[in-house]
Amino acid sequence: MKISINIDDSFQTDEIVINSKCLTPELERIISTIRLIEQQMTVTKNNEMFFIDVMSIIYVESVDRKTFVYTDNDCYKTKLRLYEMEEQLLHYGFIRISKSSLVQLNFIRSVRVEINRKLRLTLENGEQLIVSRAYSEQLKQNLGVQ
Amino acid sequence: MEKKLNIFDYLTQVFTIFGILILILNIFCLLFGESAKEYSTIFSLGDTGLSITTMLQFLFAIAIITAIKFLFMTDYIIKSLSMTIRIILLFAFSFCNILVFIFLCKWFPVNDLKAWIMFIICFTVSCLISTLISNFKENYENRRLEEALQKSKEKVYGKHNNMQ
Repeated sequence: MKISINIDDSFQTDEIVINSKCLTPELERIISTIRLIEQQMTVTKNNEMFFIDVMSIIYVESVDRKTFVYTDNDCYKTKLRLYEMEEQLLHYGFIRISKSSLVQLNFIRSVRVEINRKLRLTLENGEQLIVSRAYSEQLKQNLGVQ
Repeated sequence: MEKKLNIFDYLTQVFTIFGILILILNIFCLLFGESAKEYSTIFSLGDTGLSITTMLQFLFAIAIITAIKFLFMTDYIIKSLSMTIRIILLFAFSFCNILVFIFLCKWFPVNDLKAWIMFIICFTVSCLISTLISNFKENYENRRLEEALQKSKEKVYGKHNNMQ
């Protein structure tokens, strides 16, 4: 892939232009990553593309190598892998709660201890998520409990 | 990384409980051993301490109770069961285990009603105390987690709002 960077005083705004024969999955992932920096995310639903605000994402889940993004009303798909999203979303208060999911701190209503050193998160929408043993220790550390 | 419970965790628990129990029973031997000598096989050596047979009986009983605890109070084998049912099953199976040892090892005369009443009272009080302690511990930890969550939200989103 060819990358050209033009720096010139005459440019009024920062602009990224992508020239390609077609929109490949790789390009979609690049676009998604760039969007994330802008606090926006490119997601799809029924083959339609949407831009959603990162702060509206409640949690992100990876199922069968596909990444799903959950907001209050909808579930979208994204081309980004969970680890790629984790890197970007950490700055927005997202935390890893298991091998396959990330959740935004702001949407956690309560945390309760569960059997066998796990944690149960109740989200603002009433949904409940289990934090696995390994990640519950990490979560406690992040919260400053340990 | 995730630390799974293994045989050494099990043995650590068995021997910790065993050690504490043997210490308490030896103190009882010193205090009441001579008078209880004829009454219970536990105090067969009077105030000189516990016999090896008694200690092995307790080791075996504790090993079974700890196994019951691992079975019901972890989700390695039983994945989905409410906490209340887990606690009830834990106490019920532990009670049955102790009953077997009482009958087999004659820890006290099985035809003595007063001894049975005392045993049931002691068992119930122990169960209540351990449930209260674990409830208190759980509530305390939940409270700490809630406070830490609120502080983290303020820290993360406070900073985030300032950046915007």
